Amino acid sequence: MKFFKRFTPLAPACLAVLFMISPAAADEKEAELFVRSLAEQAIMVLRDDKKPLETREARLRALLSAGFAMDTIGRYVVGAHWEKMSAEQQSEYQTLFSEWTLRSYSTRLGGYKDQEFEVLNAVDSGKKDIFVRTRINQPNGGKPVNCAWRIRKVNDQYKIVDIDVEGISMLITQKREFESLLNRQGVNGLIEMLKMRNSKFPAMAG
Amino acid sequence: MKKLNFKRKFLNAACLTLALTFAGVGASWAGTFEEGNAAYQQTDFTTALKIWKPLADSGDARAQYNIGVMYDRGHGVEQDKATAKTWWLKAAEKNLPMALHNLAGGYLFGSGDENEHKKALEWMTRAAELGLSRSQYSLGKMYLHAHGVKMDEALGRKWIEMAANQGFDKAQYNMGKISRDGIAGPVDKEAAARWFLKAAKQGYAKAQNYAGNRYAKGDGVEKNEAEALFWITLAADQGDKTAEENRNVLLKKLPPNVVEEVTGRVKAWTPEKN
Repeated sequence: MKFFKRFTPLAPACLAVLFMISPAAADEKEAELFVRSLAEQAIMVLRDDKKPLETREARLRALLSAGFAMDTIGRYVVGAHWEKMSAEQQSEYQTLFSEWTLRSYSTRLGGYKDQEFEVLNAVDSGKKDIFVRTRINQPNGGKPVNCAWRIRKVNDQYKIVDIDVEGISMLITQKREFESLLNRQGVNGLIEMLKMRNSKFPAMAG
Repeated sequence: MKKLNFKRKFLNAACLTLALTFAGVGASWAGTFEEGNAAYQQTDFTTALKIWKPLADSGDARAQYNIGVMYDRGHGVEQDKATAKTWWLKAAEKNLPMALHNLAGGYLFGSGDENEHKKALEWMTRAAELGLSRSQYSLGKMYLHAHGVKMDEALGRKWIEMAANQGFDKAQYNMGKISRDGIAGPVDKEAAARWFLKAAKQGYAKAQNYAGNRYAKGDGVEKNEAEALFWITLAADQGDKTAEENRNVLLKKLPPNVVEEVTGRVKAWTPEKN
C-alpha cells in the first residue's frame, strides 16, 4: 500500500517554525497541514484491507464527514432555491446531499490502493479560502491527477468547501446538474433524486 | 508433397492456438465469481475485473452487474456511467433485481425524457415484483410523488407497505406518515406510532424523533416523557436538528434522575438488525 506514503508527521519544532513566518503564510501552512492530516487518517483506513470494502468506505465516509463543510456546500449548489425550501425540506435535503456526497467520495477514494498522494503547495484564493494543490501519482506510470482542495475556516476549524480535479470544480459541476433538475422537477424532485442515488446497490458478494 | 502440406497446416494451427492462448493470458483469468469477489474486497480491482470479465461475457449476471458497479464507481477503470449502464442492462435482461434497481434510478432522474421514465418504471416494477424491498419502497414513492408515473396513492401505499413488512426502515417510517395522514386508507394514529417505532428500533433517526414525539404527546401511544426523551436523544445524537430542539425542551421539563436513567439507556442501546 503506497497511497499517501510520502506523508510523514511533522515534528513539533517544524510546526513552530512554520507559524513564525507570517500570518498569511501560516494560514496556508495550516491548511496544507489539515489536508495532510486528513490524508494520513485516510491511509490508515485504506490500509486496513482485512475489513470488507463496504466497511472501509463507511469509515472513510465518517472521516470525510468531519473534513467537509457540508452545510456550506449543500446550500451553495442549490443557489436561490435554498430560500424557497421549507425548513423540513432544507433539513431533509442537507441530510440526503451530505450522505450522497460522502458516499460518492468514499467509493472513489476506497478504490485507491497503490497511488501516491503528494501535497504540492498552498495558495490564497480570495479573502476566505486557501487552495491546497495536490497530485495523485498513478502506479505503473499512469498519468498523474492534479487535485486542488479549497479550504475555508468554518467556526475556527479548517473545512473542505470544494475539490477541483484537473481544473473541474465539484461545486460548479454539481450546481449545474442540480439547477437543471430543479428547473424540471422542483425541490421534491431533487430530494427524490438524492434518495434514489443513495439507494443504489453496491457490488454483490455472491 | 501432400504430407508436407499437412505438416505445415498442422504446425500453423498449433502456432495459432499457442498464440491465442498467450494473447489470452493478459486479458483474462480463469477464476470463480467468489475469487473475483475476494480480489474486489482486497481492492485488487484489476484482478477482479480479469476474473469477472470472461464470466460476464459467458452470461453470468452477477459478474455483469459487478462490472457495472466498477464502471459506475470508477473502481479499477475510468468512471463511465454509460458503460456501467450497458453492463447493468445485460444483467437486467436476466432479471437480476439489483441491476434493475440501479438502472431504474439512473433513468428516473436522467435527462427527463418520457421514454426514460417509462423504462425506469418498468425496471423498478420488475425489481419490486422480484421481492427487493428497497425497490418496492422506491416504486411506492414514485407512485406517491408522481415521479415518472401518474400519481396513484393506493399503489404507492401498497408497495411501501410491502417493503415495510419486509423490515425496510425507510418504508416503515413512511408507513408511519401514511397512517398518520390517512393516505389511501383511514387515519390510524396507533398504527402510525407502531410503524415509527419499528423504524426507530432499527436506528433510523427521523423515525426516532417522530416516535419520541408520539410519546411526548401521547399520540397513538400512552404518554411517556422518559420514553420520549430516550428516542429523541437517539435521534439528536445522530445529528437530527429538530430532535436536538425537542430534546432541549424535554431536558428542561424532566427531573435529573429521569434524565440520568434515560442517558444510561441511550448509552447501552444498539439498533435492531433487520
